[in-house]
Amino acid sequence: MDQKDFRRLAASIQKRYNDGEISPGTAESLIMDLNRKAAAEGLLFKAALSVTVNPVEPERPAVGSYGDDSSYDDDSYG
Amino acid sequence: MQVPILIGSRAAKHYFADFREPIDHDFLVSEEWLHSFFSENYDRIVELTPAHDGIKYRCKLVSGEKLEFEIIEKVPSSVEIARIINGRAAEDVTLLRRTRFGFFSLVAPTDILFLLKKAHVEFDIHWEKNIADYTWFAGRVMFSPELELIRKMRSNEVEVRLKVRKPNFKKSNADFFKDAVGRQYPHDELHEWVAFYDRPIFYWLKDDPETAEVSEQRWDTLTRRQKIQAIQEEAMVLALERWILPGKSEPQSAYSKAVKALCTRLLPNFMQWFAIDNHSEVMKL
Repeated sequence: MDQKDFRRLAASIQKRYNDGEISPGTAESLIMDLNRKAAAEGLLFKAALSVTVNPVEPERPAVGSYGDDSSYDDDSYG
Repeated sequence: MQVPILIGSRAAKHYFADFREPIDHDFLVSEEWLHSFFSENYDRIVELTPAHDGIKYRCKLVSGEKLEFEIIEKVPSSVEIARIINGRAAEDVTLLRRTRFGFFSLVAPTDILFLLKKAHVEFDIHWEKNIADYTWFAGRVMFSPELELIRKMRSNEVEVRLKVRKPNFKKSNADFFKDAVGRQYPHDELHEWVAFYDRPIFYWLKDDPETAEVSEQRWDTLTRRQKIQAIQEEAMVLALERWILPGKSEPQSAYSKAVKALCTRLLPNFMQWFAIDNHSEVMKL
């Protein structure tokens, strides 16, 4: 994965947070995980969640873990 | 390792106390330096993301301050600029300053800052800010002709990056005006409406009235006043056909938009630079 992929993934997490699909805590942990992976690859990349004052309430509980590498292949991250 | 070079509004403010308040901190840096800054300050950095295919990086610190880094070795004009500044810094130690972030940087000299501004002002990127800064520099800093080659190099880099397409004036009027602009009146008729003299100045500029091309030789015969009027005439026509007659904008705003369009994309190069260099007067209609 290169920086563009990481950037796309961060944007995707941000969108899911903005849409209320995942909670702030889940989004934060996904971003931190992403940053750890980028650092491990020695890339110049660090993302941050842009937290809105009144985010949309999550419509459903966030499930699953971002830690699974297979989620990188998920279209929803592209 | 290459010392970072402070450019942009923050560098301008370093030399001129009356320059506008800077927004962020812009640096030219080597990739090696950025890696070292990133690893040494990882906890202070909230965000570091690439832009323009990794030519630039935007950085936000815990303090809220924003920094932008351009990677020198990825941009040929930056390599040249760094070479010039490194050479001058060897003879002028005052260019080296400690930044508030703890690292040392060279502050780009004013003629280089003017060069960088000049390389951006012909494009529609933050144009209102850039034309104001450009006019400000032009009143205070002499642009060295020796830097013109680097200015052109940098302009070309921006042109490629933004995929800018310049209009082709070597066409018949019929083909040239066959574009997406919904015209209520023929373009040339509007020139008659707003002409300063008994006939529009742009007639005078054409070798062949049936084509859109204007002659640089004819342009050179105009007085400075007439050149300003020629730009104003074209801006009034654009303002009328694109914004005022279709009811999209008030006259003042339409005229500003028309001048911007002329300065950034709708004039041949020699007229475009005259319009940019005389922007304040062109606006005084």
